[in-house]
Amino acid sequence: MKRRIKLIVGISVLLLIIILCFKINTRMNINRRIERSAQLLPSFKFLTLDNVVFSTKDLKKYNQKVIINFFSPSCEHCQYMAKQYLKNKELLKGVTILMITISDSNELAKFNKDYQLKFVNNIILLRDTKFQFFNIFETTTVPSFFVYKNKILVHKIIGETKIENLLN
Amino acid sequence: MFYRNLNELNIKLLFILVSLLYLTLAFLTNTFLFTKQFYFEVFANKFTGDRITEMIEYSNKLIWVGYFCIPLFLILKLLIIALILFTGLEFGGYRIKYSLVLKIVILAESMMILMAFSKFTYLLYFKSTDFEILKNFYPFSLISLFQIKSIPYYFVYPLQLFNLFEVGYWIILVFLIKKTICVTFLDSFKVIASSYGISMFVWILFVMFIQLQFS
Repeated sequence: MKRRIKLIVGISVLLLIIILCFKINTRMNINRRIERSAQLLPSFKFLTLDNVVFSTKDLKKYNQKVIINFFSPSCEHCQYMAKQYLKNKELLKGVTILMITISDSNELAKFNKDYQLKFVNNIILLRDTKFQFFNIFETTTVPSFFVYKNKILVHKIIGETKIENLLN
Repeated sequence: MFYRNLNELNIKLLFILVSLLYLTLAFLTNTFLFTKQFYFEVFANKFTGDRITEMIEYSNKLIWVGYFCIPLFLILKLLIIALILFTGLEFGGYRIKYSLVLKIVILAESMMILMAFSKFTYLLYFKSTDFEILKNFYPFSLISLFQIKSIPYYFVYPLQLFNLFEVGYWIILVFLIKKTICVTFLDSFKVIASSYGISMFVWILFVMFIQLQFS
């Protein structure tokens, strides 16, 4: 009986190790690929507040410097960053900020209203309805920032930061 | 003789002593290391002054929660490690009481206290203002051989775990088990490696998996 239990435990542990190793290896390969592809502004499609598709092509109309800010309306650090955008709107004039969230449109609309983001002209609020952000940018941490200049990644900042760090 | 000595040790007293040592270390860290100046120096590049002040106030509010959690997490950790070792011993055909294994695990914890103390001492005297270095610093570990910023985030934890104190921890466990069940050093090592060692390996894989999935 003890021998059988030992065998079952041994096989279970071995299986667990194999599964974990396989999963880790797969994820590491995906992450490496994402990291490489995120070095240049990747193509994406998200929805605006009015449910219109916004893609990388639409960025042509905007500035050369783009900040992609993944956020959640309920995250305190993201709310702080929204206040900072409003406060520093003059500094941010030459930059396009894409604020992307997986939250629903009602929450996003409330966030837009509460933090008066309509007064910051260059902010575009987007919804990631298909949960693609992680597969494009390799993070689910909020807030996170990807700063692109001429489509080349110049900064990747995870977590709250100063506005200056996004601009320099 | 050794078995009798170990049997006579009061498990509650041992646990209280270890908890008190950890609590003292936490108090010293909060008082002498995590000062206002420390916060401002470390986070000056990342946050504005107002946010740093808010952060200090917030962490001051939660300081007692931190102290309260120390013995709770400690007992959980000790019970789990003792259970793993106990299972390994049972599977190896050695009869030993769980309470004795728990005492061995508590005694071996002294190595982890030493590690925490050396970490505190290092950070106190060799002040660094780089948050990434402070966050990932682990004394006498493999990570010290690498530039932290050049390592993928999922390799940081495994490299931290391979350190001299962990080696010391293994030596204490092997020695105490050897003395308690009267086997050779090698047999005792086999028991530790096949139970604690494998569990540690699974744990490292699990942490890496979680970090990769939810980073």
